Amino acid sequence: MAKPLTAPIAENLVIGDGFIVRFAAVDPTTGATVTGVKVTNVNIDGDTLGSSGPPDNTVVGPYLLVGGPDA
Amino acid sequence: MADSQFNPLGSVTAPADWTLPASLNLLLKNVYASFDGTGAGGSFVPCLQIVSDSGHTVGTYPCATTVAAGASADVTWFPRVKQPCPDVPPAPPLGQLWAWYDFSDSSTVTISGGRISALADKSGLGHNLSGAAGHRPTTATVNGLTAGYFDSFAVANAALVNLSISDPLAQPFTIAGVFTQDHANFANWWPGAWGGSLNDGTANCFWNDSGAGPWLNSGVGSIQGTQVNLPCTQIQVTEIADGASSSIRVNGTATAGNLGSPSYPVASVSLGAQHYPNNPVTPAQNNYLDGKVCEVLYYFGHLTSAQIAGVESYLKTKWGT
Repeated sequence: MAKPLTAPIAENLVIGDGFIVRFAAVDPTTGATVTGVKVTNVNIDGDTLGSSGPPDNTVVGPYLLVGGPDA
Repeated sequence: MADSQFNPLGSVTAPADWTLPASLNLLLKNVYASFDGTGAGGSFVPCLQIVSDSGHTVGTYPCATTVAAGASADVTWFPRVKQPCPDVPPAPPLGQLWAWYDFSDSSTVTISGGRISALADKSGLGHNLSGAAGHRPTTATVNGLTAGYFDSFAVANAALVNLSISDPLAQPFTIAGVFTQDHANFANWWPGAWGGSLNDGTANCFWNDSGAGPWLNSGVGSIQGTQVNLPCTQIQVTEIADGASSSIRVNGTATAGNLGSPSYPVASVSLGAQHYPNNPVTPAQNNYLDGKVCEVLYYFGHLTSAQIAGVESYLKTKWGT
């Protein structure tokens, strides 16, 4: 059974066009990537800002999650 | 402003990237992901990173819990409701701490007569600091949190020191911290935020009397970081003392250099006093800090870029640098 964990992110964190949200698994001692960890069920919840964002009630996504560097 | 849910598909191997679609700005509320460590090569820390469109890592948000190899975790990241609590540990605690001084943690601060007489080391290694009567700093607020105020223009030579360290921190090592410098520079004033004591050349962070700095000095050489004019509000400085592979990072901007040989260990610690001649009680020059030290972390070794990003993100978020 998966262990539920929580972690903080910065308050009022705004990401823009072209920014990357990266899910990593790192070694607790060295910070290096740990191989063989699968990431699933990603859900990102946010408020779209400004006129460049989609209008209210627009269904956004889903988007394909692709492997990052060293995947 | 409209609420949007993004559900990237599939099962992928970490590290996995999702790129924000064009023409979209998003205020993050919650991020969720399942980490399946069934085939993991070792224990791991689930970590969320935000990378700008120019490739710069602007935030690293690891879990405080390590997941064992073969185990799994469902992780939810959420914004802090308020400024970070004093008891939030460094994120990530990926390096091995040699000392950790955190003025915002009231459980580590001893007040005597309205001034700080002692500051406990949170690393567990016992590198505690104390202030001599008549030379103790007071407290002030930085970014809503309590900091140590080394008001050396009001109380002579305010400093907290430990001159009796039995297990010096040898190079390579990494020091990361946040402080302010509240006074303009002037002649014969080489104020420092942290460092060794008594001997010129020990690890420290200071300005010289031309206002140049901050500097890293932990050997026969020294490295001047990106210029910060005085006075300055809180800045974040990371110093990596590693011989020819040394560097000083000021608010995330790195300047590399060579500290030369011999390479001095941290054989004593002072907050508020440096550069030289270094004597935290009876200086030959008025070389003491007039500013606030917020938090300083000493790590064994040359931290990796991911570890540096983690501790800098922690300090930046907490202290508003």
